[in-house]
Amino acid sequence: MTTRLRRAAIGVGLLFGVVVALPGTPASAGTDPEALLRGARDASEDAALAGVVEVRWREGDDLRSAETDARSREGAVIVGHGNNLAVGGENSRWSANDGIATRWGGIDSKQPPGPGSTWNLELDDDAEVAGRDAYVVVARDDDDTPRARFYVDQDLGVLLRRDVLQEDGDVDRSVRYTRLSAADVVPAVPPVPAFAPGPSPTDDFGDQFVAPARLEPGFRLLGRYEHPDGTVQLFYNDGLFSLSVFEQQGAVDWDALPDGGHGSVVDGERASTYSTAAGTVVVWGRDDLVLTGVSDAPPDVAFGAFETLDGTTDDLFTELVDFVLGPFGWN
Amino acid sequence: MSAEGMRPDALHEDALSAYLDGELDATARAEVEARLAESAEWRAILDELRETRGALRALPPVEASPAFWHRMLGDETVVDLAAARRAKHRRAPWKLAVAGAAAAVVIVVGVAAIPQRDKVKPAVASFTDAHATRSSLNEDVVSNLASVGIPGFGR
Repeated sequence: MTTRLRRAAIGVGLLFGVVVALPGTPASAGTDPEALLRGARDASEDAALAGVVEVRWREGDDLRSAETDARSREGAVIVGHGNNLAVGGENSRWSANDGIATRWGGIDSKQPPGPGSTWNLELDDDAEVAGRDAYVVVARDDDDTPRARFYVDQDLGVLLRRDVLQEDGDVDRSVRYTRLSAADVVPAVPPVPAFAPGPSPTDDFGDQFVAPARLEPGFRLLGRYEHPDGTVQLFYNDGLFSLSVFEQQGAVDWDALPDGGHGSVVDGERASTYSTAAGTVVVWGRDDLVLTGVSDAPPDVAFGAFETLDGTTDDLFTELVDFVLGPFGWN
Repeated sequence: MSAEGMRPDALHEDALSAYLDGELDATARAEVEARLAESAEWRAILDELRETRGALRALPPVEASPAFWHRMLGDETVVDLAAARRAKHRRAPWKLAVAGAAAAVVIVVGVAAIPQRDKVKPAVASFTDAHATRSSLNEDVVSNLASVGIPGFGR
């Protein structure tokens, strides 16, 4: 059953008062893939950990890698150090580069879709990551092709590794602990840098910007933000992956883009695509807008979503299902 | 012109034509009018002249061709009057130059007035960090912030 049909069936059942057994309803958090991924969303903040995290990403035929360190305790998470630093606390984040920090706080966005709302989840054989036992959750698309693997610590519930897969099964991007200690760590508090004005949630931006509520195949708009320079950021999530589209008025200055991009096409428009540690980055222009898309989804999935940015019109029924199921995170 | 020298039979048409054209002095005009009063023939001729002139005036003007004037005058230097009139209506070169310059100014001003799209250099590295940081609010914090914690793209 496709994701859309399943959502529709659930919506009809609820609307007419019929009890429908939800596929994947947690029976046991320890072995249910959806419950494992839900629990891993917050486990890192709750645990006391110190470790080294490696990021691998594919650039053409090359597989690049870089390491950083991560520490967490009592709700605070610190990743990186020096000029490349990110700090997370309850419902707030700030990231700093070259001594200037950008803060995200007070974000009251919609709940993200459930991890299994777009993807078919199943448990694979157990594995070991950084010397720790892990459950392995495989996310498959509607063609039953594996597109991601998630390794969840069997003891702490922490996400130890995440692999994003290309269509042919090769790893496109991987983030994993290479060393991890769950001892009673005390993370060093980094010096607080100077804060620059950060993005703020907004519902009021010009008609020149586009903000569809959904992007294919299952990305839902969770927030709209305006940056101090006027850039509008749309933030989407499909339960497993997230995607941002940054919109600026004007025409792309192709000569000023960073090196390393390769030519591509989005929605019939010239584009430049980058493979980065954060995922796929695409810059293109359309209708007097400069659009920059960033996503940690598989590249073909991200491209498919960007292609639908011109406005997927949600029908009334879909909106109704979202309204009913949204608060439960089931849609 | 005086009516005295007119031969009454041969030249009465000339006298009447001059009379119709207002070319006679007061004395000659008085004599012609006296004749007209006495002679039915003169009155009939005067009526014919009036009708003939009216008919001619009613005809559309006909412009003679240059060949006609060549034949008539035998003058190689005769001017093509129609061509000369057309040339008169043509703009002089300096007028054309002024008109062209004015059109150019209008075009330049028009192009300048059309809003030009600003060239934008998207802050790709900052956007990447912003996305990763925002993602960490809904998803696993460490795996999302890891890309912020490493030097690399665009930095």
